[in-house]
Amino acid sequence: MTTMKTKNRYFKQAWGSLKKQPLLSIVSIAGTALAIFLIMIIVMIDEVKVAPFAPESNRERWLVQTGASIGNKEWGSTPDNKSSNGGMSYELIRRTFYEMKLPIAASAFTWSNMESHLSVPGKIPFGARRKDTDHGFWKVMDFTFITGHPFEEADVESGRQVAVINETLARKLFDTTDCEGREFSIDHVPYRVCGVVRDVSNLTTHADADLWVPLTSNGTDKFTWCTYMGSLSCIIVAPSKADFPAVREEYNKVWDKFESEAGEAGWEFYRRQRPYDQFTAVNTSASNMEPDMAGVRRHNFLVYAILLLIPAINLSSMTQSRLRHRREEIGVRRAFGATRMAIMSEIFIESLIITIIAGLIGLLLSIAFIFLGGKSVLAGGADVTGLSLGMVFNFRVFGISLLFCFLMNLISATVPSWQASRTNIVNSLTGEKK
Amino acid sequence: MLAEWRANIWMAIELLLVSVVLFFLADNIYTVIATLNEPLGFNTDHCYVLRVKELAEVSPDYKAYESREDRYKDLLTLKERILARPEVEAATWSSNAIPYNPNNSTSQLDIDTFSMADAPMLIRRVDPDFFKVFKIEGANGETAEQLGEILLKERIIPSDNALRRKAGIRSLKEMYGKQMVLGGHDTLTLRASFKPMKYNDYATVHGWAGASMFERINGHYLGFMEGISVRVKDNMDKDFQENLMADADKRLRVGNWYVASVDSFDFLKDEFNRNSVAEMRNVIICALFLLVNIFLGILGTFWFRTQQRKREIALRMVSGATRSDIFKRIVGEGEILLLSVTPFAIVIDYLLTHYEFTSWYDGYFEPVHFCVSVLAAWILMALMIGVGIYFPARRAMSISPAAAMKSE
Repeated sequence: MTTMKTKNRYFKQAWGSLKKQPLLSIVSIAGTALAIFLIMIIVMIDEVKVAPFAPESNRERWLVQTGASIGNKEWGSTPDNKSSNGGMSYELIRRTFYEMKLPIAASAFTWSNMESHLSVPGKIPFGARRKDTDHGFWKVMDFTFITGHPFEEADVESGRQVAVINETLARKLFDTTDCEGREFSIDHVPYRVCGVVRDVSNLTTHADADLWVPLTSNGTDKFTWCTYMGSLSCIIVAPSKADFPAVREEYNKVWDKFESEAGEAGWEFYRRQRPYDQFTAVNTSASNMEPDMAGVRRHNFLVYAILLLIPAINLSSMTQSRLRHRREEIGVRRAFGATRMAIMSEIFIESLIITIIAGLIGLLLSIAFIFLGGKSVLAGGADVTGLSLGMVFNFRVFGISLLFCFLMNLISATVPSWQASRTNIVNSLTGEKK
Repeated sequence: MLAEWRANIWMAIELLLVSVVLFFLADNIYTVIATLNEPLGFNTDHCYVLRVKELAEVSPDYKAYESREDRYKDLLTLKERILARPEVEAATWSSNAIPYNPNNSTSQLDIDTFSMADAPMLIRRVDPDFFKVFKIEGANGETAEQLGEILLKERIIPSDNALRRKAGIRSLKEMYGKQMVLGGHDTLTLRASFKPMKYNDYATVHGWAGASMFERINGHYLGFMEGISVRVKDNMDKDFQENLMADADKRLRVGNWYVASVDSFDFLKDEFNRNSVAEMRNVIICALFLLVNIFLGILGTFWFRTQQRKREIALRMVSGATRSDIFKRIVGEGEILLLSVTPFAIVIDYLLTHYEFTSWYDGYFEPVHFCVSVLAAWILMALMIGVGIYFPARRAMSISPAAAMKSE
């Protein structure tokens, strides 16, 4: 009971002294709040690229390989020179990824969307973004079907001309989303609609398109260059993130076998640490480079450090000025018998109050920012269908920034106050530092 | 000033750190502004790309060509038909060449005695009308038509900055008439160079994709064509895309070739620049944030410092100092503090640049870039210190000396 009372008193005192110097308190709080706000925004901007959201709900447990790197003994290839880098052929994917047993799903699909010519009788033809996929695509991705169903293994095997289209395209073609079984032509080849899905955000770069067709329906499966290369990417989904090591081990085994067969004709592959998890994939833009994740982390760390340190340095020098001001007050209180502990606790609580208020303001600011049209700011003008704040909000980072700001506030207050509480009471009273 | 040496040392260290951070910001912002101010090297106003494709074998209308010449002839017929439309001013077909396209080809081009084995360059394969469509000019003022003629004859035209990154040669003009070797085997003559084309609005021409070359395209690249690009006459943009697509299936099909869709370059530009815009916006937001924070910090620190000296200021006023004397004195003290850390700051700035922590713009250390950044950081600091001292000092002086001394 007594301790409760004491604590209450500390809070009141701390609050009182914060109120006594409103300008400084406001500046301290504003500085801390801004730092937390900015860090949250920057983290969220990065988070948009890796957080799982439909239809890319499996981002956390999938491994991506957008392309492969091939060379040939005859060209004198090395990993850094005279290698060819790009999409893979269906044949290659079948002989590697499809052979794996551990993944619960695998999908081959065209990495970049093809601009296609669409037409229905009575309408002016128009272009739309087409993605060629296998049936596994619908297991890897998490689309919502309004009508109909995805195309199946049998459709892919027989190269049937069926298509899944998104709702915007359905309305554009047929003025309704209820169009399962209707016919239209893609690049002057007749196709039939087998399903209509909800529109998705173009931030889900692997899933997004206007229409999806079996990769066997238009010859994409037969397109090759350098024997094994083509226009396809592949994603495999592990049972969970914890299974990545086992999946990679199986991947290496399958590729060892494949490479030794391809090696007979002089072909060499450079694996460049593939396949990548989502974080590595979004930070490795070119297929002819080794991922440099240590570099990416170093860069992020540097950015966070600067964003936290500069406000911290400023805050601490301001707090120091303020506490020099309060030397006299501390002296008086010491003279009247306040223990050093009591004074230190008050300063501790003061820092805590500043940090908590600032943290809350920073948090509210960042949330308000996202709600007030900030969503598209986050994604650089991309559309954000299906993206919610909860998906990109990172409590861990919020906690860490808060803790950091608290420590900085505390250190900047503790050192001078410790000195003040130690100095001779008479000196403190005169406000002189000695 | 010396009397407060201990506090002043802390203040100096703070100023040093902050001025280095400001230098870092100024350096980044310099790069952004300098990049945005570079000429694009091309013009995409009133330009469109028609995505021209070939029927797949599964199509009922598919026609098996007997030779590549027939296939090529059909494409050229299609290009003629597009050019014949009244709105169209110029048309060109190309491979990995148009602005704002993410697909690149590279090749090695040795010029004179400079081997570029370790520095492959972007190669844009185009027909001679490309220069007219995108208004590309020669380094010596050659018109688009003249560049087209040179491309027809000489096959390759490199950008004027082709040797800049590798050999520091700013222009190829002095080297016209020298030999070039393409891909290690084809020997050609350098007759002209073109004004560098930026890779996108936010990438400097001094970057890796800022140097490039044009190669005359031929029938081998039919399968790698990105489409037929057109320039529409100035006042005829309205409904161009709709009208063209309305005719696409009737008049614009030749053999297996057809027009799948039309994109305006304004659209392609927005899509292509999106990531760069986002990145630049982040840099600017962070810079502004740090500026505000630093300003608050410096303002706050000097504010309290000056307030604490109320008594001293009052004393000086009592002993006959004029207001401007006092201003000069205390603002001067702040600036002396800044001046005393400036040499250290410049050394640290230089080390940061030397060890390549700063932004890359035509090299890490570039005298003008460095001096502008140092100066900008210094002026900002001086201003902030000035403001941080001026206002509290004015307040301190506005009360009567007696009151100021009593209040303490």
